Amino acid sequence: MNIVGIIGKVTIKATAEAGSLALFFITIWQQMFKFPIYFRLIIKQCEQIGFNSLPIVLLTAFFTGGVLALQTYSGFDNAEVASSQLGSVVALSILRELGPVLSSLMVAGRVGAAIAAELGTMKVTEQVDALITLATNPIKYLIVPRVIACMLMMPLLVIVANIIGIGGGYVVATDILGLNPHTYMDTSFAAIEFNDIALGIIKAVVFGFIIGFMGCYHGYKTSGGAEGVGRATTVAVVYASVSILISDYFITAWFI
Amino acid sequence: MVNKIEVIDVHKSFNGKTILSGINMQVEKGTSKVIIGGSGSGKSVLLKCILGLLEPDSGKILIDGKDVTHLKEKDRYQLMHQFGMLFQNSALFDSMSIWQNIGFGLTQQGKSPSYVKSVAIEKLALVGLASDIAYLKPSELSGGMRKRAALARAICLEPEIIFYDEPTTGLDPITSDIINDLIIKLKNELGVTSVIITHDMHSAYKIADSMTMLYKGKMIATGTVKEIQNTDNPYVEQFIHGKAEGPITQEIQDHIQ
Repeated sequence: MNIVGIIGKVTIKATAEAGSLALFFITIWQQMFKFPIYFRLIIKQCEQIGFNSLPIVLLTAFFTGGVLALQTYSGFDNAEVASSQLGSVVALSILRELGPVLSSLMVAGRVGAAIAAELGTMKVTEQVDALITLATNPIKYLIVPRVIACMLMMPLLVIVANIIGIGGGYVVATDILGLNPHTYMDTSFAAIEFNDIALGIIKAVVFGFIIGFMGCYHGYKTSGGAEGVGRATTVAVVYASVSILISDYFITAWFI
Repeated sequence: MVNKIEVIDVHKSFNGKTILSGINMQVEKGTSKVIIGGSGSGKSVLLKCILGLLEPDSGKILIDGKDVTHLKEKDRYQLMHQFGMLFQNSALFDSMSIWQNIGFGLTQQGKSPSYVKSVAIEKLALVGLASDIAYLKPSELSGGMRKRAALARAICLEPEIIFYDEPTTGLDPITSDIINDLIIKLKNELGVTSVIITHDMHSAYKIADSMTMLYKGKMIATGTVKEIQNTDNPYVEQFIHGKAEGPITQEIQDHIQ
């Protein structure tokens, strides 16, 4: 095939995929505000997506804070500057970037994959068709609760991750690097502004939507048996992770 | 007799490949129609078109004389209350227990769990299953039990039409016959109209009031069981007797060559 043919084929495929994503996006938003709203399913999903993700998010946040303190400390020229600046560098990095982005990437791997695999299996075993024949809209019943739960839970996870991340930095800075605990905390809190916290929360809501949307989209569009489910799971995580990183740049650029 | 379902000149293709080309079919109220045909003949696609899971490229589907081909979302889900569907692999929701599966439709209508449970147990008895099964998960049941539980779910809302996608495939002969008897019982006692896809000829002869054979997306024969059995169409003749030699296999060999 010639080069023009290849470019044409790729363009058509990409356009079709973009169109399909956009239509799915519109369908979800339309169904989100229509009755009935399945509160019980939303709460169940909140537990699975939010509460069950706590251990992995907390572990990631703690060690991220710790390693950030270590790395930043070694980057300073002298210990005096380090003790007066380290707290603020760690706190701002966690609140603005590392807290939301790393937590979301961990949740994308855990929850995005689980959603895609569950919906994909339901699709290939005709359980989605069965829902329709039982007069239930699968978008409303399966997808909307998952997307809402992701958008509600991600900010909460990020708040907890921020606290634990700053705590991880504190432990390393005071216990291992021997900095004064009071100075460290004072410099941390002095540097934090409301906007830093708000930025992290806004990012978390957007990333939560991306995780739920990508997991649901790729799961719902699954075809081709077990192989298809495996493919959907991988693609959901990759699309979600890449979208999180790209949107992170744009949200930050827009905010600053 | 009044036609419950009418399929008028339905065409459907996927990615340029024609699956159904000009299907015309009628199913009378309270009767059972068996659709036979080899794998890939378009039986499942036809069933999904009638159900509304797929939209035909052209042609019409009438239910009770009303055109339901291009319904709005709300009307489509409303119409689904008239339908029950038994899927080939049962398609029970594996995150729910059997009673929750059977009573899913009732739960969606806002009925209380205790009421749903009692109706589910009643439906389980109707399909010959004990009430203690109600609390198990689908993965804990055998294939035959899952199929019967799925049938209980399909009849739970007392539909007027039940669609069966290969109801006896993968079951032992005795369980198959139990399912056959259930289909006949539902038709006789509840007066439901049935559309059954199968390639189990023993089952087809037992449950059919009329039969239709699909071949390469076209209807090549329609008639009563007797008429189909005495057909002079060589394609139908090869299929119903399950012969390895005949025009169907000849066409495949010609295609390969």
